[in-house]
Amino acid sequence: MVNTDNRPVDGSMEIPVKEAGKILKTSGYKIANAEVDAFVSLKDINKIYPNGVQAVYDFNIDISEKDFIVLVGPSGCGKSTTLRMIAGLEDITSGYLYIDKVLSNYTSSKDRDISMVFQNYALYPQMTVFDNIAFPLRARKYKRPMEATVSKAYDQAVGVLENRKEEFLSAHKSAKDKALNYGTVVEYVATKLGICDAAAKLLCKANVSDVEGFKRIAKAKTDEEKAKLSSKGYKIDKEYRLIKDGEIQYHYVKMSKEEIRTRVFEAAEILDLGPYLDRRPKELSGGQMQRVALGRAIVRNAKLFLMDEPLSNLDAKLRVQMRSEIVRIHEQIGATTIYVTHDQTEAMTMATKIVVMSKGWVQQIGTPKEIYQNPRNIFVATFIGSPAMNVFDAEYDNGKLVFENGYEIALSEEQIKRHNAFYEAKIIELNRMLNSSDFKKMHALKLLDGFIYDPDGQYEGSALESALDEIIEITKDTDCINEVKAQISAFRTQKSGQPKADRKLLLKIREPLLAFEKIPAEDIGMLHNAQVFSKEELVVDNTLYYQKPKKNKKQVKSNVNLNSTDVEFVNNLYEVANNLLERCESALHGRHPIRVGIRPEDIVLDSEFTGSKTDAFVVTANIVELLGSELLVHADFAGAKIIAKISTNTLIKPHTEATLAFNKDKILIFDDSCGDRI
Amino acid sequence: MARNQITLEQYIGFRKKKEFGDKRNVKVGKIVAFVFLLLFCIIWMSPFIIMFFGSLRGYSDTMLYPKELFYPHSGYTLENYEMLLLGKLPEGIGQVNSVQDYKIGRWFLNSCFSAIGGTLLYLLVASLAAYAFTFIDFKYRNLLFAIIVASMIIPGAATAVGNQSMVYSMGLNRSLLALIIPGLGGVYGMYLIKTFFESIPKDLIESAKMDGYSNFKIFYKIVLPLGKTVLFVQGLFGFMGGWNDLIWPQMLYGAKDNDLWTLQVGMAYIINNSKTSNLIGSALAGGVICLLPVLVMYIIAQDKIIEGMSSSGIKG
Repeated sequence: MVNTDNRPVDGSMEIPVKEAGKILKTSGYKIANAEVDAFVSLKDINKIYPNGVQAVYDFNIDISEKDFIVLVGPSGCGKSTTLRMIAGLEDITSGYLYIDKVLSNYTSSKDRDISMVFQNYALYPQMTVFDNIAFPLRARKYKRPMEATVSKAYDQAVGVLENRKEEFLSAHKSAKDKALNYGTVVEYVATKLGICDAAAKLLCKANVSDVEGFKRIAKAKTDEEKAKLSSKGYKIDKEYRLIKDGEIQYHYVKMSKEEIRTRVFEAAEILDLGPYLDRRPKELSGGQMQRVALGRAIVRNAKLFLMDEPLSNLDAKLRVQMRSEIVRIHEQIGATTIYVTHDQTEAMTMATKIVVMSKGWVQQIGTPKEIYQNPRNIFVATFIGSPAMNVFDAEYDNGKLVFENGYEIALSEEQIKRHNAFYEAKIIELNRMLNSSDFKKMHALKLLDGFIYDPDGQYEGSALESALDEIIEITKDTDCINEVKAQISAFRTQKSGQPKADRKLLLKIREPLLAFEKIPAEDIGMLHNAQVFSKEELVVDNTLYYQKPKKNKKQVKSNVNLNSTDVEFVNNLYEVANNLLERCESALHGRHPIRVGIRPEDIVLDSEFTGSKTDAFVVTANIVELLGSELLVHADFAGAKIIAKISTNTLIKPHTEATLAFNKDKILIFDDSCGDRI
Repeated sequence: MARNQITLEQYIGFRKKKEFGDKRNVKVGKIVAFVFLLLFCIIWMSPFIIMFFGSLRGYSDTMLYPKELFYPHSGYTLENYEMLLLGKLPEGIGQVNSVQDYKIGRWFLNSCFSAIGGTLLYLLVASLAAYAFTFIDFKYRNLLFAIIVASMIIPGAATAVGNQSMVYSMGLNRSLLALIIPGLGGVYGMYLIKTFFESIPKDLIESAKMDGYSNFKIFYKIVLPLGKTVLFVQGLFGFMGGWNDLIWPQMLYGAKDNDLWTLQVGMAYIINNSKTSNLIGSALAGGVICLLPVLVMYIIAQDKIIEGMSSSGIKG
């Protein structure tokens, strides 16, 4: 068992290789990093499954204590994988995970001091609720002061016989009346009288009428133990703890039955599980099973709670109820919680901080309010909020938004300024990206691949020659220029005119170009979003790269260098970036497509709303849903479906016309090619 | 409504019933099924019946078969059993060419040791292996499992000689352990148990691991209680297999000291010795003695076997 008291050592400290093992051992294999301030910190976490699928890309987050973090996203976005990596159920491919300032990548899940609630509760069907909740407590040994157990038991028993004999007799009788078996009777008496199990056992066995006789035995036994202990150099203090050389002595023991009982009862109290403690999970309803699972998590007082979609197996009404229950428990015990869900309502209502994910990328991290009011891109905007945000295709034309049906909205000065600044910043960034050596290599690759994968290519002619010259020109600043030059000259001298042999030579030029250096994760993330959120049809594949399965080498699971040749690009990043650059440049001059988002509650009735609003427009309501205090009006507008949320002051009937307007301050504008908010 | 009048609705229902004759059809089907089942039941039972009643006939009556199958004219007798169990030959039987003594009690104990001990040991080994293959992620796990499963296609007879020389080289040529040890590598039971373990939700094991339990404790506290039905079924199969096994103990000890024989080997010897017509009764009595423990076991455990076979998976 790892000694839990050792202080972690500083991980960034430089030490000789030979001593490293020793230092680690003395610190109980705990490494801290001096730079980490947050309670839980994830740095550049990546997850690549052995089959080459990348589930999580460069996950970064700092979690402070008592936070309630919710990871939210559509299914398959990597949120559960992230949670399982934190729990230690899944290997971390690359990156650093710190829990309580201790590097936890390689510690096993039981040493991380985490408790987890699973989606299907993971209750043990053969155990009662009590045993289920007590199960985590029975696993490990805890540091407790050494005690003179015999003296303690006898003293307590004598105390009860002298002062509270009637109480004991009635408790004993009622336990017997319930036809409990012997062990349970002892425990019942112990709990009733507030004494330890050993004392209760003595009392149950003792001849109660002969108090004096019992006292004599007690004195003899106590003296015997005292003599034994004092011969070893221990003294006993008032609370029966052993003291040696003036210090209280500790040892590691399993938790005692009394302690387990009190802790389980406490947890049951918090969760209202008292009446169900002796049932089996089969006999419980879904909500009760859920509470037992929660109880098992909280009973251990772990530092960190992980919850993996705990409410998705419950029915709608119970889910709402448990939602507030979980928040209440979180506040009551004050632990840090990480919660995974696909339900944006749960995220909005429970979280102190939301992490929105899509396809393995973190899209935005922020408080619920931030995420709702300032979504960073179109994915976050449409994913959060119910009903979802209305999105229209429109065109930006010199400070005006022109919808498909000719409806126009004039933008304010500030908005126009922001629009221009956004695109200028984008262009600067893309130019920086394109000037990096990796993108140059990819540019060269694109030129080369045009010839290699040409089905009726002849591998000669002026076009190819000029392309080769261009490749040398492009790659002249990169580190592979010498190899590329050598391969190209080899091709020029050795080419024979036979397509097969020439193709082989061309493929050799490809090899040095494939050795990429570090491409910053943010850049890949941006290009990824451009692929996923853009409406263009040229997008072939949403995944930008995947891990190449190694053929000859053994696959190393734990340490994969993301930015070397292990990675194969599905799309040529140069192409993607170049496309994006072109569109950004054209956006600064003249008309260009754009997407406009507006939340349903920001579409207002023209006659009622008095704030700053756009020109009114008339739609025909297709469907009207009455939701108590408000109406949901579905209609068609500008080639898209529109949903408006309107208070019930004015009743709109289906298939009638309604005059609506947009709340001008709440209009969100998104770039068409990469989905970012302007 | 008058007494012998019915409504039209009732009449139509009545006529329909008559036309289709639903009741009669069901009856015929049931009878056919019953007859078939009875027939097969008799076919299957008849050897046992013949064996049982045959064992109760004296040596002088053995030839009066099948005429006096149930009622031998000289009455029932236990002399066959006496011959086997007590070594007491009935008067006037003539020469019995037995070379070795019949030690039924000894053989019975040997069989018990090999069947019960072997089954328990096998359950332990197989369930541990199944646990490892299901819940522990180690290198080459799937490859190893594939190899082990592939070894199922090799028939037992082909490996018997190899097993024998292995057991002898281990110095077990005069030990009953040799009956058990080669069987511990059996794949079928392990495969059965593994299939069941796979139906246990992985969350249960992961959750216990996070709580700090070791693999052995998880195995003992969670997986074994959940998998007890499949262990029971496999235990029964193992017991029957061990009890009924003839080839392996015959190979090991058939030519040796008869203190090491199991009941099946002894039984084979008895049958071999009972080729003269007047000794057939003793062979049949030997059969009854061999059959009884398995039969009793099956009757006791019948409910649990059906339960174990039909229970597929558990609820999380």
